[in-house]
Amino acid sequence: MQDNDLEKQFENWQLQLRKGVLIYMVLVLLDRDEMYGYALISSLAKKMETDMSEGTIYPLLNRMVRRGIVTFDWRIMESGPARKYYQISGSGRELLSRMHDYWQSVDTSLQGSTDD
Amino acid sequence: MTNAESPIFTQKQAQMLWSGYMEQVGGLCGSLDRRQKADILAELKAHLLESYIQLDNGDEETRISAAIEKLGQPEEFVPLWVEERLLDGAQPGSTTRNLYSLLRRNALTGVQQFAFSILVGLGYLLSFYFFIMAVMKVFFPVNVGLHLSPTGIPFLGYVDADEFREVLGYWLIPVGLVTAVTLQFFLNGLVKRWVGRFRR
Repeated sequence: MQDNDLEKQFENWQLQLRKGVLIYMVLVLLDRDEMYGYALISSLAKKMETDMSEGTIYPLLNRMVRRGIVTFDWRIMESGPARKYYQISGSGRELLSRMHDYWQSVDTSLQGSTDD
Repeated sequence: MTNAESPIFTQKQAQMLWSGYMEQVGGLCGSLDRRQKADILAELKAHLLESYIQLDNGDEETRISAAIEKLGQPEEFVPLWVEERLLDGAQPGSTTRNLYSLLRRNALTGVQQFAFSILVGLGYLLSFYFFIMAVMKVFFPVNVGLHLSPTGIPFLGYVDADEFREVLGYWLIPVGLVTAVTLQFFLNGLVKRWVGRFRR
C-alpha cells in the first residue's frame, strides 16, 4: 500500500475518533459545570491537546443543542458582552452515562489485547 | 438576544481586522434570518473579545490577529454552523421561512454543482482539443491550424478548402501544447478548491 493512502486512512480514522471523543468530552465538562463557549473550548483544548480551530466546536455545540443533549441560555454580564451558557440536559446525562460505560468496556478490551 | 460589544481599538489596523472578520462572518450567514445571524455574531464577538483579553502580550493588532488565528477563518466553520442553524429551522414547529431557506440553499448548491461540472467538463474537452490539434499539425501541416474564413471568422481545426487562410503555421504546436497544459493546471486547481468546499 502507498504511504499516501496509509496516511489518508490514518487521518480519516483519527478524525472520526476525535469527533466521537469531542462529543464525549463536551458532555463530561458540562456535567461538571455549565460553561460559556470560550471557557468550554479552552478547557477542551487543554484536555485534548488538539490543533483544530476553536470555531469548529460551535457547529458541534449547535448540533448537540438541536439533539436535546445540551441546552443554553444567554446571560447579560456586568461588564463585557453577554455570554451564551451551555448546560447538559437530562438526556445528555443519560447519554454520557452510556458513553462512559462503553468507554470503560473498550478500555478494558484494549488493555486485555495489549497484555496478550 | 444580546448586543455584543466590540472592543474599542486605538490601532486602526486592529479595528480593521475585527470589522473585516465580522463582515466575513455576516456575509456567510446570508441565508439565515436576522435573529439567527445576530446569535452567531454575538457568540463569536464574545469569544473573540474574551480571547483578545486573555492574550495580554503585544499590541492590539498582534493580539486580535492571534485571537482570530485561534478561532479560525470564518470559511473554515461558519458555513457548517449556518447549515446546523438551518437544520434547527427544519424541526417540527419551524417557520415556513426557515424551511424555504433550507430548501433554497440545498437547491442552489445542487444547481451550482451541476453548472460547475458542465463548465469544467467543457474546459477539459477544450484542453484535449488543443493538444490533439498540436499533434495533428505534425501529420497534416497544410490542413490543420488556426484558419480564417473569407468573412474573417477564426476556426481551429482541420480544413480542406482553399478559401480559408491559415494564420499560425507551425506556431500552433507550441501554442496548442502550452494552452492545453495551462488549461489542465487551471482546471485541476479549480476542481481541488471546489471539492475542498464540500469536504469541510
